[in-house]
Amino acid sequence: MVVIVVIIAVAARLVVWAISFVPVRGDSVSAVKELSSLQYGVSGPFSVGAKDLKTKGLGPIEVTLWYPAKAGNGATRNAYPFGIKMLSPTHNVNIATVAGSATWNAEYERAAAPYPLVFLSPGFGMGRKVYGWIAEHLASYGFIVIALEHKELLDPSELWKSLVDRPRDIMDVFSFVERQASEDSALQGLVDLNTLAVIGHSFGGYAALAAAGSRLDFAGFERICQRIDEEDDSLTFLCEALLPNVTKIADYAGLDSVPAGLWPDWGDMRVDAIVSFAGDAAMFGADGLAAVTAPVLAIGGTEDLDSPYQWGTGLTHENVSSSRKIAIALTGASHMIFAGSFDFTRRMIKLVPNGFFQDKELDKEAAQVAVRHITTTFLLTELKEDAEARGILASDKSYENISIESIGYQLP
Amino acid sequence: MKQTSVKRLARIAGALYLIIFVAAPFPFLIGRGAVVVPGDTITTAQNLLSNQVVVRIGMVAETIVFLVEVLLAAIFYALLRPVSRHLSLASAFARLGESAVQAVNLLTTMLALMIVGGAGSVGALSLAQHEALALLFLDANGFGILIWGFFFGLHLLLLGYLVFRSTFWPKVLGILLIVAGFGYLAQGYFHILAPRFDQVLSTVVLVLAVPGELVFTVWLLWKGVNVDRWKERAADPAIV
Repeated sequence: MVVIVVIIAVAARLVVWAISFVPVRGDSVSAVKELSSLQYGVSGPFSVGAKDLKTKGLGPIEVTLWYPAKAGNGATRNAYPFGIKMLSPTHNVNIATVAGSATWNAEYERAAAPYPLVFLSPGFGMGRKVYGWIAEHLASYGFIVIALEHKELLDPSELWKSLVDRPRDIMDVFSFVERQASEDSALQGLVDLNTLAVIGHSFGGYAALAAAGSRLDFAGFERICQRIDEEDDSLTFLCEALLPNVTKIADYAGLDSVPAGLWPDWGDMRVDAIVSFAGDAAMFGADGLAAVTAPVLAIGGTEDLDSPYQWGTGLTHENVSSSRKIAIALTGASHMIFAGSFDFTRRMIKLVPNGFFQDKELDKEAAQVAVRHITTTFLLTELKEDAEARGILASDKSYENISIESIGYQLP
Repeated sequence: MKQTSVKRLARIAGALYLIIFVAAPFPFLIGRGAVVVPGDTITTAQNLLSNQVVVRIGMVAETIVFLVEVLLAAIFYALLRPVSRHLSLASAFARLGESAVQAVNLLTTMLALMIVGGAGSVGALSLAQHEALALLFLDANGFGILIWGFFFGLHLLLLGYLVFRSTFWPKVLGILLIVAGFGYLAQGYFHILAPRFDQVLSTVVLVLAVPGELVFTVWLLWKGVNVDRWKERAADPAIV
């Protein structure tokens, strides 16, 4: 009995030690200096406010809104929780914190309104505030970013449900914003409901593509799955999580039977542009992706083991029908390059090998400066018809560790 | 003191030590430590509000720890008085000091709960100020831990020395306790003088401190004390 108690006591102490938050130092190096000169890599002209909202009605969805704000009121937020839904579909376990500087509940800056809308769909099982680093940045350039908290457990066996839920979530939140903006609410006159983009990371990239009209094609997906080497291809995970559940997916989506070819369009024609960060795309197959006509910016890391570049970013760029599209390869970057940089992390995350500390060759901060610059340039071009930004997209400037394939942005 | 009562006293000390070992991690696992998100005032305040029950359970565990510390201070004084009255008294005082700081440190969690609950005069502050203050108090709790660590480090040094000199406990136990004492003191002083080594030191303390206290606890429970030698020391008229 005593021995058991002693073992429990020692184990508890070790657990306390392992889950304590520790500051992250020295994990970032090198290339930031070179990239800090990028025009849209630095914060824009607007102060940034943020607030949490919850949609009304059945199955309310929590969202965070980042927006242009009047300077100097409210409280500045210095950190966001890096949450993962490892225990519950509705509650995040915070494994780290990421830096932030938005002013919480600040007054809206209406002088330059209405602002284009940007919906943000996180990675599978990840909290929405993990992406504060890009949301704050876009808001500083006059976008209203709405990040969604999808209700999903970080469990591969549940991934198939998210395939159906995520595009619905985005449309539900869009409907909520439409209602709010048309009623006598604070959002009235603030948002431009006719100018809209969806960005997403990982499975959020899938959601962005689906929202833009990409259609599931399990026959095409199965062909891709048959081509990959099961021993070492990371796409195996996606194949095993989705292919055995096709009937359940169709049923869950309310379809009478499994479609023989392309599945129905779950998107919205009003989506003007999408940005996919290491986004999953193989489930659409080449034919399903071809249904997308909105401009697409797809960015991925060449060392991504979760959404391999070839089957995510590469596949998207090759197959969408968009007349304007860009693919960016971040050499040496992993899947989590698109998640916020850690300020603090639980000690075990630093000690146990995992996907959160993989980016060595391409410094995470430098990559995020580049991603901020490219994403902002793309959205300014597509949602605000900004000539200066378009000029940057049309230039052939190259960057170390970053390769760019661009179609449709040549200057006349 | 009777032979049986000395042995029983040592075993009671072991049992009390075991209670501390079990109760001490609670505030970190399910209580205060589980709700704090460093630097994030809003999430921390929300966590604190929605997890008040577990935070309060963690506080109960903290009260158990510092009350048991008082009992242990008295028991170790009684057991080690035959080695040196003065040093065992100093050792007990140090442990009482540790217990007192632990008790006062509980105030930081109580204040954080009061603030997020909007109690009394706190209503004059804005929500953002509530949240910032709550996190400040929870962060301050960490400094309180370092402060009682100084007292505890001194106690362990003295306890270790007395155990080493005692003859009724193995010398190695004394050495382990002295090492543990240095660990706590090093953590506190490094935090003040060289905070960048903080994380390394907290690992060092875990490695240095826990084995000493744990082995001592197991010894107390298993063997208690060598009663014959204890009586020899107690009968020595040269004790000061």
